[in-house]
Amino acid sequence: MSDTTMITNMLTIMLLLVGVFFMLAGTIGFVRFPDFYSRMHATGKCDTLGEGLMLVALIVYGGATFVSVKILFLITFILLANPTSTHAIAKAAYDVGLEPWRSFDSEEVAWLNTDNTGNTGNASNTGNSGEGRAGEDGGEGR
Amino acid sequence: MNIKHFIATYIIVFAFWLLLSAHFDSFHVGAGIICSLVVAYGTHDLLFTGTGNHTLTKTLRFIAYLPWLIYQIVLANIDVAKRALSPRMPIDPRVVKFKTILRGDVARTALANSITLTPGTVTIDIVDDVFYVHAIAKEPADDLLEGAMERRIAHVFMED
Repeated sequence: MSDTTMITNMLTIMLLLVGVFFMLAGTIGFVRFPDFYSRMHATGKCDTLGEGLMLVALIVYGGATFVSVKILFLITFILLANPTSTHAIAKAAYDVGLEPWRSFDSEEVAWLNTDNTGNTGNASNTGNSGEGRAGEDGGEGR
Repeated sequence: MNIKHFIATYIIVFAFWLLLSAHFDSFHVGAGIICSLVVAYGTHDLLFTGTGNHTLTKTLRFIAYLPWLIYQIVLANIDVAKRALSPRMPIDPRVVKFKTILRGDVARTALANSITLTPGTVTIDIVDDVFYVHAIAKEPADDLLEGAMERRIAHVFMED
Protein backbone atom coordinates (compact mmCIF):
# COMPACT_ATOMS: atom_id res chain seq x y z
CA MET A 1 0.00 0.00 0.00
CA SER A 2 1.45 3.34 -1.02
CA ASP A 3 1.63 6.31 1.32
CA THR A 4 -1.10 8.32 -0.40
CA THR A 5 -3.60 5.47 -0.24
CA MET A 6 -2.86 5.04 3.43
CA ILE A 7 -3.35 8.75 4.15
CA THR A 8 -6.58 8.71 2.11
CA ASN A 9 -7.84 5.70 4.02
CA MET A 10 -6.94 7.18 7.37
CA LEU A 11 -8.66 10.47 6.50
CA THR A 12 -11.73 8.56 5.30
CA ILE A 13 -11.91 6.51 8.49
CA MET A 14 -11.46 9.60 10.65
CA LEU A 15 -14.20 11.56 8.88
CA LEU A 16 -16.54 8.56 9.03
CA LEU A 17 -15.90 8.11 12.74
CA VAL A 18 -16.52 11.78 13.54
CA GLY A 19 -19.68 11.66 11.41
CA VAL A 20 -20.89 8.54 13.21
CA PHE A 21 -20.10 10.18 16.56
CA PHE A 22 -22.30 13.18 15.77
CA MET A 23 -25.10 10.95 14.47
CA LEU A 24 -24.86 8.92 17.68
CA ALA A 25 -24.88 12.07 19.83
CA GLY A 26 -27.93 13.29 17.91
CA THR A 27 -29.72 10.01 18.47
CA ILE A 28 -28.89 9.98 22.18
CA GLY A 29 -30.12 13.56 22.37
CA PHE A 30 -33.29 12.53 20.57
CA VAL A 31 -33.94 9.88 23.22
CA ARG A 32 -32.91 11.95 26.25
CA PHE A 33 -34.34 15.39 25.54
CA PRO A 34 -37.64 16.07 27.31
CA ASP A 35 -39.97 17.33 24.60
CA PHE A 36 -40.66 17.62 20.91
CA TYR A 37 -38.96 20.98 20.30
CA SER A 38 -35.70 20.16 22.05
CA ARG A 39 -35.60 16.88 20.14
CA MET A 40 -35.74 18.89 16.94
CA HIS A 41 -32.44 20.45 18.04
CA ALA A 42 -30.80 17.05 18.28
CA THR A 43 -32.04 15.69 14.96
CA GLY A 44 -31.98 18.90 12.94
CA LYS A 45 -28.38 19.81 13.66
CA CYS A 46 -26.56 16.52 14.19
CA ASP A 47 -27.99 14.89 11.09
CA THR A 48 -26.77 17.74 8.92
CA LEU A 49 -23.15 17.56 10.03
CA GLY A 50 -23.12 13.80 10.58
CA GLU A 51 -24.34 13.00 7.10
CA GLY A 52 -22.21 15.79 5.66
CA LEU A 53 -19.02 14.42 7.21
CA MET A 54 -19.78 10.86 6.10
CA LEU A 55 -20.40 12.03 2.54
CA VAL A 56 -17.18 14.06 2.60
CA ALA A 57 -15.43 10.86 3.70
CA LEU A 58 -16.84 9.12 0.62
CA ILE A 59 -15.60 11.98 -1.58
CA VAL A 60 -12.12 11.68 -0.08
CA TYR A 61 -12.17 7.94 -0.64
CA GLY A 62 -13.52 8.15 -4.20
CA GLY A 63 -11.25 10.93 -5.41
CA ALA A 64 -12.13 13.36 -8.22
CA THR A 65 -14.81 11.42 -10.10
CA PHE A 66 -18.30 12.16 -11.35
CA VAL A 67 -19.70 10.29 -8.37
CA SER A 68 -17.85 12.67 -6.05
CA VAL A 69 -19.47 15.66 -7.73
CA LYS A 70 -22.87 14.01 -7.29
CA ILE A 71 -22.11 13.47 -3.61
CA LEU A 72 -21.14 17.14 -3.36
CA PHE A 73 -24.58 18.01 -4.71
CA LEU A 74 -26.12 15.66 -2.16
CA ILE A 75 -24.36 17.58 0.62
CA THR A 76 -25.69 20.86 -0.74
CA PHE A 77 -29.25 19.53 -0.85
CA ILE A 78 -29.01 18.07 2.65
CA LEU A 79 -27.72 21.44 3.86
CA LEU A 80 -30.78 23.09 2.31
CA ALA A 81 -33.43 20.47 3.05
CA ASN A 82 -32.55 19.56 6.64
CA PRO A 83 -33.18 22.94 8.30
CA THR A 84 -36.20 23.49 6.07
CA SER A 85 -37.85 20.22 7.07
CA THR A 86 -36.92 20.81 10.73
CA HIS A 87 -38.65 24.16 10.48
CA ALA A 88 -41.70 22.62 8.77
CA ILE A 89 -42.14 19.97 11.48
CA ALA A 90 -41.60 22.47 14.31
CA LYS A 91 -44.09 24.88 12.74
CA ALA A 92 -46.69 22.12 12.43
CA ALA A 93 -46.28 21.31 16.14
CA TYR A 94 -46.48 25.01 17.06
CA ASP A 95 -49.61 25.51 14.95
CA VAL A 96 -51.53 22.75 16.73
CA GLY A 97 -50.58 24.37 20.05
CA LEU A 98 -48.00 22.00 21.48
CA GLU A 99 -46.35 23.79 24.40
CA PRO A 100 -42.59 23.73 24.85
CA TRP A 101 -41.29 22.01 27.96
CA ARG A 102 -39.90 24.33 30.65
CA SER A 103 -37.47 23.33 33.36
CA PHE A 104 -38.65 23.83 36.94
CA ASP A 105 -35.71 25.99 37.99
CA SER A 106 -36.24 28.34 35.07
CA GLU A 107 -36.47 31.95 36.19
CA GLU A 108 -39.36 32.71 33.85
CA VAL A 109 -42.26 30.32 34.14
CA ALA A 110 -44.81 31.58 31.63
CA TRP A 111 -44.24 30.60 28.06
CA LEU A 112 -43.43 33.34 25.60
CA ASN A 113 -43.02 36.19 28.03
CA THR A 114 -39.59 36.91 26.62
CA ASP A 115 -40.84 39.47 24.14
CA ASN A 116 -38.01 41.11 22.27
CA THR A 117 -40.07 42.49 19.43
CA GLY A 118 -38.77 45.86 18.37
CA ASN A 119 -35.44 45.57 20.15
CA THR A 120 -33.60 44.74 16.97
CA GLY A 121 -33.63 48.25 15.64
CA ASN A 122 -36.57 48.43 13.27
CA ALA A 123 -37.80 52.01 13.31
CA SER A 124 -41.37 51.34 12.15
CA ASN A 125 -43.57 51.00 15.22
CA THR A 126 -46.80 49.91 13.62
CA GLY A 127 -48.67 47.28 15.59
CA ASN A 128 -47.78 43.84 14.30
CA SER A 129 -50.34 41.14 13.82
CA GLY A 130 -48.13 38.48 15.38
CA GLU A 131 -48.62 40.07 18.79
CA GLY A 132 -51.77 38.32 19.92
CA ARG A 133 -50.49 34.92 18.94
CA ALA A 134 -49.15 33.73 22.26
CA GLY A 135 -52.53 34.15 23.92
CA GLU A 136 -54.42 32.51 21.09
CA ASP A 137 -52.32 29.40 21.25
CA GLY A 138 -53.14 28.93 24.89
CA GLY A 139 -49.64 29.44 26.19
CA GLU A 140 -50.50 31.91 28.90
CA GLY A 141 -52.80 30.03 31.22
CA ARG A 142 -50.39 27.47 32.58
CA MET B 1 -40.64 34.76 -23.03
CA ASN B 2 -37.29 36.16 -22.02
CA ILE B 3 -34.80 34.54 -24.39
CA LYS B 4 -31.77 35.35 -22.21
CA HIS B 5 -33.30 33.63 -19.18
CA PHE B 6 -34.30 30.69 -21.35
CA ILE B 7 -30.75 30.19 -22.66
CA ALA B 8 -29.21 30.55 -19.20
CA THR B 9 -31.66 28.02 -17.76
CA TYR B 10 -30.98 25.69 -20.68
CA ILE B 11 -27.22 25.78 -20.10
CA ILE B 12 -27.61 25.10 -16.37
CA VAL B 13 -30.10 22.25 -16.90
CA PHE B 14 -27.98 20.66 -19.63
CA ALA B 15 -24.78 20.92 -17.57
CA PHE B 16 -26.64 19.24 -14.72
CA TRP B 17 -27.76 16.48 -17.09
CA LEU B 18 -24.18 15.86 -18.26
CA LEU B 19 -23.00 15.79 -14.66
CA LEU B 20 -25.58 13.29 -13.51
CA SER B 21 -25.47 11.01 -16.55
CA ALA B 22 -21.67 10.95 -16.98
CA HIS B 23 -22.19 9.21 -20.37
CA PHE B 24 -20.93 11.10 -23.39
CA ASP B 25 -22.16 8.91 -26.27
CA SER B 26 -24.51 10.37 -28.86
CA PHE B 27 -27.67 8.75 -27.44
CA HIS B 28 -27.31 10.12 -23.91
CA VAL B 29 -26.15 13.58 -24.98
CA GLY B 30 -28.91 13.76 -27.61
CA ALA B 31 -31.58 12.78 -25.10
CA GLY B 32 -30.09 15.39 -22.76
CA ILE B 33 -30.35 18.13 -25.39
CA ILE B 34 -34.03 17.37 -26.02
CA CYS B 35 -35.01 16.92 -22.37
CA SER B 36 -33.15 20.08 -21.34
CA LEU B 37 -35.04 22.04 -24.01
CA VAL B 38 -38.39 20.88 -22.64
CA VAL B 39 -37.43 21.44 -19.00
CA ALA B 40 -35.86 24.84 -19.71
CA TYR B 41 -39.01 25.91 -21.59
CA GLY B 42 -41.14 24.94 -18.61
CA THR B 43 -39.00 26.39 -15.86
CA HIS B 44 -37.05 29.37 -17.18
CA ASP B 45 -39.31 31.84 -15.41
CA LEU B 46 -38.89 29.99 -12.10
CA LEU B 47 -35.11 30.03 -11.94
CA PHE B 48 -34.73 33.68 -12.89
CA THR B 49 -37.65 35.62 -11.52
CA GLY B 50 -36.29 38.81 -13.02
CA THR B 51 -37.14 40.85 -9.93
CA GLY B 52 -33.78 41.01 -8.16
CA ASN B 53 -30.80 43.13 -9.02
CA HIS B 54 -27.11 42.81 -8.07
CA THR B 55 -27.51 39.05 -8.36
CA LEU B 56 -23.79 38.51 -8.92
CA THR B 57 -22.73 40.51 -5.86
CA LYS B 58 -25.29 38.70 -3.73
CA THR B 59 -24.13 35.30 -4.96
CA LEU B 60 -20.48 36.14 -4.27
CA ARG B 61 -21.31 37.47 -0.82
CA PHE B 62 -23.35 34.35 -0.10
CA ILE B 63 -20.41 32.13 -1.08
CA ALA B 64 -18.23 34.21 1.26
CA TYR B 65 -20.85 33.67 3.98
CA LEU B 66 -20.76 29.86 3.66
CA PRO B 67 -17.47 29.15 5.50
CA TRP B 68 -18.76 31.02 8.54
CA LEU B 69 -22.01 29.06 8.35
CA ILE B 70 -20.17 25.74 8.19
CA TYR B 71 -18.09 26.80 11.20
CA GLN B 72 -21.33 27.59 13.03
CA ILE B 73 -22.78 24.18 12.08
CA VAL B 74 -19.73 22.46 13.60
CA LEU B 75 -20.12 24.56 16.77
CA ALA B 76 -23.84 23.73 16.86
CA ASN B 77 -23.14 20.01 16.68
CA ILE B 78 -20.52 20.12 19.42
CA ASP B 79 -23.01 22.12 21.49
CA VAL B 80 -25.84 19.61 21.00
CA ALA B 81 -23.51 16.63 21.54
CA LYS B 82 -22.34 18.19 24.83
CA ARG B 83 -25.88 18.79 26.04
CA ALA B 84 -27.06 15.35 24.97
CA LEU B 85 -24.15 13.41 26.45
CA SER B 86 -23.70 15.40 29.66
CA PRO B 87 -25.24 13.52 32.63
CA ARG B 88 -26.81 16.74 33.97
CA MET B 89 -28.27 17.61 30.56
CA PRO B 90 -27.96 21.42 30.87
CA ILE B 91 -31.00 22.52 28.89
CA ASP B 92 -33.55 25.21 29.69
CA PRO B 93 -35.74 25.59 26.58
CA ARG B 94 -37.67 28.72 25.79
CA VAL B 95 -39.42 30.37 22.88
CA VAL B 96 -38.30 33.86 21.97
CA LYS B 97 -39.57 36.16 19.29
CA PHE B 98 -37.94 39.09 17.58
CA LYS B 99 -38.72 41.45 14.77
CA THR B 100 -36.53 41.12 11.71
CA ILE B 101 -35.06 43.93 9.64
CA LEU B 102 -34.92 41.76 6.52
CA ARG B 103 -37.45 42.29 3.76
CA GLY B 104 -36.72 39.85 0.93
CA ASP B 105 -38.12 36.31 0.90
CA VAL B 106 -34.76 34.74 0.08
CA ALA B 107 -33.05 36.74 2.82
CA ARG B 108 -35.64 35.64 5.38
CA THR B 109 -35.36 32.02 4.29
CA ALA B 110 -31.58 32.24 4.59
CA LEU B 111 -31.90 33.71 8.09
CA ALA B 112 -34.45 31.07 9.16
CA ASN B 113 -32.27 28.22 7.93
CA SER B 114 -29.14 29.78 9.43
CA ILE B 115 -30.90 30.08 12.80
CA THR B 116 -31.81 26.41 12.64
CA LEU B 117 -28.25 25.40 11.78
CA THR B 118 -26.45 27.55 14.36
CA PRO B 119 -25.98 26.50 18.00
CA GLY B 120 -29.00 26.06 20.23
CA THR B 121 -31.76 27.63 18.15
CA VAL B 122 -34.50 26.35 15.81
CA THR B 123 -36.85 28.59 13.83
CA ILE B 124 -40.48 27.70 14.48
CA ASP B 125 -42.47 30.24 12.56
CA ILE B 126 -42.37 33.56 10.74
CA VAL B 127 -45.47 35.71 11.07
CA ASP B 128 -45.15 38.92 9.07
CA ASP B 129 -41.96 40.47 10.49
CA VAL B 130 -41.71 38.39 13.64
CA PHE B 131 -39.53 35.32 13.97
CA TYR B 132 -40.56 32.70 16.55
CA VAL B 133 -37.45 30.83 17.63
CA HIS B 134 -37.09 27.90 20.01
CA ALA B 135 -33.84 28.14 22.00
CA ILE B 136 -32.52 25.25 24.01
CA ALA B 137 -31.01 27.44 26.76
CA LYS B 138 -30.66 31.06 27.76
CA GLU B 139 -27.25 31.78 26.19
CA PRO B 140 -28.16 30.82 22.58
CA ALA B 141 -31.30 32.94 22.84
CA ASP B 142 -29.31 35.94 24.07
CA ASP B 143 -26.72 35.45 21.31
CA LEU B 144 -29.46 35.36 18.70
CA LEU B 145 -31.24 38.47 20.00
CA GLU B 146 -27.93 40.31 19.88
CA GLY B 147 -28.44 40.15 16.12
CA ALA B 148 -24.97 39.47 14.69
CA MET B 149 -26.26 36.85 12.26
CA GLU B 150 -29.09 39.04 11.06
CA ARG B 151 -26.59 41.77 10.21
CA ARG B 152 -24.46 39.27 8.29
CA ILE B 153 -27.48 38.15 6.26
CA ALA B 154 -28.48 41.76 5.69
CA HIS B 155 -24.99 42.41 4.34
CA VAL B 156 -25.17 39.37 2.04
CA PHE B 157 -28.50 40.41 0.52
CA MET B 158 -27.56 44.10 0.42
CA GLU B 159 -30.31 45.22 2.78
CA ASP B 160 -28.13 47.08 5.26
